[in-house]
Amino acid sequence: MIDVIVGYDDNDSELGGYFELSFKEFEDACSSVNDLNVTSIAGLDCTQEVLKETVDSLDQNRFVFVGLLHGNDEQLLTDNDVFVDVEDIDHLSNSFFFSPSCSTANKLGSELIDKGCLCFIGCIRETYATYEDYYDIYIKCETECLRCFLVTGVSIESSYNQMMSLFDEQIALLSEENDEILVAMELIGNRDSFVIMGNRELRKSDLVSS
Amino acid sequence: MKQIVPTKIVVIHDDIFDEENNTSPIMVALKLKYGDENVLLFRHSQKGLDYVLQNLGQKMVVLLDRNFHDGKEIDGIEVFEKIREETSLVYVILVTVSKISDIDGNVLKKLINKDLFKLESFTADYTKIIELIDEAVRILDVRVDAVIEDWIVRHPIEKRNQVILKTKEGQSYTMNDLLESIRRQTEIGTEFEKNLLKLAIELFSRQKLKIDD
Repeated sequence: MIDVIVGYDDNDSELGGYFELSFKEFEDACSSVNDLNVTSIAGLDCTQEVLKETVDSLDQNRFVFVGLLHGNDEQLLTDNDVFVDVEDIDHLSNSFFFSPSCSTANKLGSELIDKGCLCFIGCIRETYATYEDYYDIYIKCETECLRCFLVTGVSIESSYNQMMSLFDEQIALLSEENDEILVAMELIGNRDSFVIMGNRELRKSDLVSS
Repeated sequence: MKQIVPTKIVVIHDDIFDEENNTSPIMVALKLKYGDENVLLFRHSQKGLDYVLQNLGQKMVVLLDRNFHDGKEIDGIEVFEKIREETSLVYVILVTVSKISDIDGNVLKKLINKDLFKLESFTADYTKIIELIDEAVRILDVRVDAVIEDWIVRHPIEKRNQVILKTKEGQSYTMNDLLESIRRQTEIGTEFEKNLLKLAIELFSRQKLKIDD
């Protein structure tokens, strides 16, 4: 069994819908995987306390953490609370940490790796989500890394590269076939904001608990 | 010179106007070339600097005098430095009546390191100065911020106030905000510029020659 904790802020005034769609896309993309134990933490429940309790319930197993909410250099957060803070991350040291939120790679990512986090994939800059008609494409691209990692079982580096390829493919489609230059530019910004740190050879099999 | 969005030529010089004859040959030549409304003369350096800093949202070439006769005026080098504190997108041409070789080495180093566009001696023959201004205007016109500005003005005014970029942090930018951000070189402005260039490069890289097809 592989434990996955997903925090998503469906309560956010601006992007609640986006985060909720991201979670649904993750669920759909991984629906064929039988050995996943997904625990979701939504909206107002996205607090440090709830996250710590959830991690504690895993009994020190390795796990996948997915953060689908606002971010900055040091935190993942909602309008009301902090969900992950760089000053208090020991409970995430057994995780593979994934988040498409803004800027978390700057401090939070490197601190997590210093604390022993298995692998970190996040963004170094602000990322974009302007055009609602294309949310499905933004989200599909961002989720591709997790889908590939959990469904196919290849290394996290290969999964990350697969995500980059999907971004490239969609950027080409949007710009060449649909004349959606501004959307393609946003996808370029989002694609180039992602970084990977830590163990690039990590595989799904490394996370299996009994 | 036909431009979609004209460049402002800002002349900051206290000795360019012939009071006796109430004229200035270089100003006349510039106004003929770029249009009366696009060429501005400031004979006090502070006023010229204020104008530049208050109008960073537009394309500008500044022709700047190095030495002002009145000791109370801000020296041209200082005006240049104050512009550079805000932006490197305004092209500055510094003119001096002194010999270039008389300029102190440290000052020259500063001018080069802070991207002075051109340094030229100011003589009665101003054709060289006009050539330098032409060159600056040409280069400005193919810069990304100018291309974006041209794109923006092709849209009706109400469209220019629609949000075209929204970060996941919830900050929204209209076309006009973005242009201002690029000219002021904020993080969001430089990122937008970079992403546009990256897309252009990606599109160009994928283009195959069709001659033999």
